Amino acid sequence: MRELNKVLILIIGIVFFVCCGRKNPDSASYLSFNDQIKLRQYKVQGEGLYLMHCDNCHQADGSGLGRLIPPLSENTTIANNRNQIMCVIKYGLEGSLIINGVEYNGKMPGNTELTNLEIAEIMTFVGNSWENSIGIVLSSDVEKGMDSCH
Amino acid sequence: MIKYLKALCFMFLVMVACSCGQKKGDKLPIYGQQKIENRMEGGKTVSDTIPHTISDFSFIDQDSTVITNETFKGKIYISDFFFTSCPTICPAMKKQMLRVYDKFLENDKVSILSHTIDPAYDNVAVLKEYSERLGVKSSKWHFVTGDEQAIYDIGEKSYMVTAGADADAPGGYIHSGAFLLVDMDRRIRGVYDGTIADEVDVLMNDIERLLREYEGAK
Repeated sequence: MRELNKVLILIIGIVFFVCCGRKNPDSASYLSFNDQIKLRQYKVQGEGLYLMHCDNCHQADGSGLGRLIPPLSENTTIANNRNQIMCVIKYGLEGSLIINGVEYNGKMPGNTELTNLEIAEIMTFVGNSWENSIGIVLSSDVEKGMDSCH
Repeated sequence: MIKYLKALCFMFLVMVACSCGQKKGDKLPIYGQQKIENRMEGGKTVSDTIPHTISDFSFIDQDSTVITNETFKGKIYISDFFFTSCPTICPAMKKQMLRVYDKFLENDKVSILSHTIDPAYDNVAVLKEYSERLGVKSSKWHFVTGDEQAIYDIGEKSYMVTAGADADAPGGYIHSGAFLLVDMDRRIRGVYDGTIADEVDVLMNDIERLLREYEGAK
């Protein structure tokens, strides 16, 4: 019976791994089982923080608002500019920028109260939701990335 | 036993009939403090119930057009208070108001009136750019600016919402996220939380009910 349980757990584990790997073929398929769980944890924490700090402007579905607030969904800028995005979350951004071919010219307030871990969780959530799949962003990544701000 | 069942069936039918009738006939409530005014008519004292109404106003919209109560003659409108540099609930409110805008875009009897509570910064040019970036027509959705005190006064006394400067609030202003449904007779017929999609669903349903009320009265 015990043997059967072990086999079952293994099968469930493999199915879980295969499914998740399929979902994010570019980023997450190379992750180990533990890292997959870590990614999920970061995402869950990040979602709560997103609702608290980002949702009012960028909206619950990451769609932004007209040409006033840029979308975060299907946003290729995130994957290619990780360090800049970290800095924007922490210190805000003002002026013209182009996202997905559309020009925006507004002002995003900074969130200087956020810790490196919290920024990592928000980035992991945003970066792996709404057709984005940049994989996990770790607290240590943010710590390094913060040096590039200003 | 059969008698009892028959009675029960009858009661059930009556209940269904009542609830159906109610749905057709029931009107949206009229918000605000009513006034009773007495007047003399043919030597007798007659009492009139005067509902709360939106007082006279005059503001300027994103096209520099003067917007007054007359602008909304023969229309129902949805009113709210915001400011363009708002870092908190405004974008969420505008996202929801866009749903209302899209749904009633083709209906000339429905209009939208957004007041800025930061008129010092939100001048006509700023409101123009804001509305264009939002992608809405100024004939349908008026973003108005004007005298600061006049805006705060109409917010608190006519629309009965909180709107004003507050040094402690993020962005420097405090305001309610309410959407107010105003009928063709300047009366408030509904108050909704403009940041919550479910409440805006109710608003959109109530707009249709209110329109039917006027159609039925013709």
